[in-house]
Amino acid sequence: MLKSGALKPPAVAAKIEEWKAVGLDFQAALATLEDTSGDVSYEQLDCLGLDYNREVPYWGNRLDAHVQIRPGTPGEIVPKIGAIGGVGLAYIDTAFTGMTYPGAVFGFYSTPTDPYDNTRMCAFGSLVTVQAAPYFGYKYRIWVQKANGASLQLLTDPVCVIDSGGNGSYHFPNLGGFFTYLDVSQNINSMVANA
Amino acid sequence: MRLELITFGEPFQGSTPWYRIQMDNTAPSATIIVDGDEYTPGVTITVEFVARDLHFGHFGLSTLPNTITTPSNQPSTATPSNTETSLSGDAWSLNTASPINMRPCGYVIHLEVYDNTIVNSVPGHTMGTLTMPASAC
Repeated sequence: MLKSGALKPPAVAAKIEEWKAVGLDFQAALATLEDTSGDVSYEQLDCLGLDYNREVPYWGNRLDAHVQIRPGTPGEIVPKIGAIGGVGLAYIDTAFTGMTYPGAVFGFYSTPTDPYDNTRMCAFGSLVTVQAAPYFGYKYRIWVQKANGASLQLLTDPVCVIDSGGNGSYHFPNLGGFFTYLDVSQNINSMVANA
Repeated sequence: MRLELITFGEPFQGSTPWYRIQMDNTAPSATIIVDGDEYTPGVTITVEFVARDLHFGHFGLSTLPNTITTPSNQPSTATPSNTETSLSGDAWSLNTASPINMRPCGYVIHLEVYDNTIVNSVPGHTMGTLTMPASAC
């Protein structure tokens, strides 16, 4: 409303008239603007504490908070596998031996993978299930190959899933071996493949 | 194994690293080595057995039947049950006179050998079994 260098009596008078024309009181507005602090003339600091019953008038406030921002792109979707063979990935040496670590437990049962000597590592046999948290609106496929790089193939066997109502069904892949992620209500165990 | 991720529109979103998983679909070996079919009641039979696997779990030796009407003594061995035997076999023995006098009859020596492989993604392991039937009563 008032630019720097424009505070001259004729200009102020003109502004006051403009305010009056729209029903506003310029002097009252200035008085309110100047009254920006409470009456603290009676205060005597004899102790320090927080007592909302003795709170003096104030205007405005400030709240500090620390915010940590994770590295990466906001909303980034990262492909993940949570468990293989019923064992959480954190319990499997997936980089070298391909066997469970000593002390490994089953995800569902929390029982040792080797109940007779849980310092021993375990291999996997027969049907190996794969579990992963779903990304709604995305599709996935799983490749397997031998450790020497031979026999690369897609896992396209239908996956047995159980919904939140306890009903079982098979989930089939689409073209190219891609499966649609099912919502947890449709796949309560987050099964994504059978190897 | 590795998992690849795409959107519904099919732009490639990325993949996991290759995860290495060791497979074992070979059953353990179970062998009982005996030196005859018939033994004199009251003797202690001492022979050998083999229980081995690349990923060994445990073994169990038993005598069948072992019921109220036909009780039997159980084989014993110095080999701990969660240790595999030597290639040539470890000794086991069966005292046919203690703690009970086993009746002159046909008995079965049953050997179960388990590996510690996670089979079908659930607790429980691959088993190899061998039974050595004796002659009937």
